[in-house]
Amino acid sequence: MTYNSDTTSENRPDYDGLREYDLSIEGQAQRVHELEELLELAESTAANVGRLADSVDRGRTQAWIATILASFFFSILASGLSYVFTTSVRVDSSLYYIIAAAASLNALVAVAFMMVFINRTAYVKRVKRDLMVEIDIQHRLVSMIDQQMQRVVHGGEYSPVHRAIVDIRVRRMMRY
Amino acid sequence: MEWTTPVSLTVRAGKFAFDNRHTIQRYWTLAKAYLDAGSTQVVITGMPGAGKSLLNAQMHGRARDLYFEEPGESTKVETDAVTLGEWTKLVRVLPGQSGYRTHGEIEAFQGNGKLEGVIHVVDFGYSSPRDPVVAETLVTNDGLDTIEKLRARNLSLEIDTLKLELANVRKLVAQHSSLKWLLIAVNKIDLYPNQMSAALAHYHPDGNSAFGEALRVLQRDVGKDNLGIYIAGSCAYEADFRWNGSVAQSALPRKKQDLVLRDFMKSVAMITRIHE
Repeated sequence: MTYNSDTTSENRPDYDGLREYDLSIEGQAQRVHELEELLELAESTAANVGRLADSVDRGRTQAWIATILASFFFSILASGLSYVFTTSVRVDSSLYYIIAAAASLNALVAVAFMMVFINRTAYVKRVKRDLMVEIDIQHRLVSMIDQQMQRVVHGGEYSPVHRAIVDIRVRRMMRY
Repeated sequence: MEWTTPVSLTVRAGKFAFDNRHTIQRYWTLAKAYLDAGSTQVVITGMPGAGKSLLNAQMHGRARDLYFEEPGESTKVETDAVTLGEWTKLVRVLPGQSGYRTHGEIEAFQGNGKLEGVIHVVDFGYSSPRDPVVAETLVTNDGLDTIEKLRARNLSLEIDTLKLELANVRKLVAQHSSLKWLLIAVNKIDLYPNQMSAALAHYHPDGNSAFGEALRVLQRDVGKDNLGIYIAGSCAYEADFRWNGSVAQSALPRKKQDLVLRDFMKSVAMITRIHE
């Protein structure tokens, strides 16, 4: 069917007033209920987004700290080894054993921090995947809430205070 | 080195900069748009699906690219540098959904002494929900099974959206005197070329509609001299409008669309020049 945009003045709608719509109280109650459900779902999604974003930040900070500490211990190890190779430390001297023990300990600690870095990086990647899913859901919900809000506003009585409350709730969700 | 040499160089550099001030300002604004920095000078608002992003892409010139992809639902504020007449302005497009536009709205309307104008995009009711679930609900549950019914609903909702936007305008005009103009861009005129005058009358402040009434109230509140209100037709994209099996055909030849867009750009450039 093709809609003819050449609408004559007789069948042109009353643009400000026409409401061929389900204006029953039950219909409006159903719309408000659906809106409330969408809002609750969006709020729980927003809470998840916040929690996951915090986890990503925390994981990134931990990875950075682990990198800095691993670099620190590796540089101590390198300094110790260069000292041993550039000076004539006797192999059977107590200084040699002390340096060897310290170097081994340093190497162990540095490797441990490297492992922490790898672990945290993998964790951040995993959490970011979850975060993307939650953000995608949140975007769809924000869109649906907007459309549902339009249905409610157009569908009958809805107090301006309630409308403002919904608006505030939606804005609060989009902090991230 | 003679003392006249640095003086001469400075004077020549100054003259060169003055002669090319528009180009320098253009590149400066482009850099700001690229970095998404700087205060908004022109903000584009409107209901979801009104064609704000497309109109902005046309104003920017990007929409004429061979590989331009039609934008979908905007979930972020879009920033662009658009040349309007002699000067380039930092333009931001606010998404239609209140959840997405929060940051942009605060940035554009709260204490922004640089905002010069607002382009409010309307579409004479020719927009439909992008979410298929919502679209189906409107048809099956709410009985909006024809284009005319959907349009009537959209036109009624447009007034609500306008009133929210005008509240921002009113607040900003009271705080800063930089906001000088409001342009109502009547978009998608390819869908109603024979009703163009009816559409312009509907959105005009002197019209009898609730939309016009809201604009009249704003002008009365802030003073006609403090805020110019303009109406211009635009056609950001030629596409048929489909709703529940019905089609409103796009009936504007490409050349005519170009003409409409050119006139629109000329109008915006003239408005900015009037209010400089």
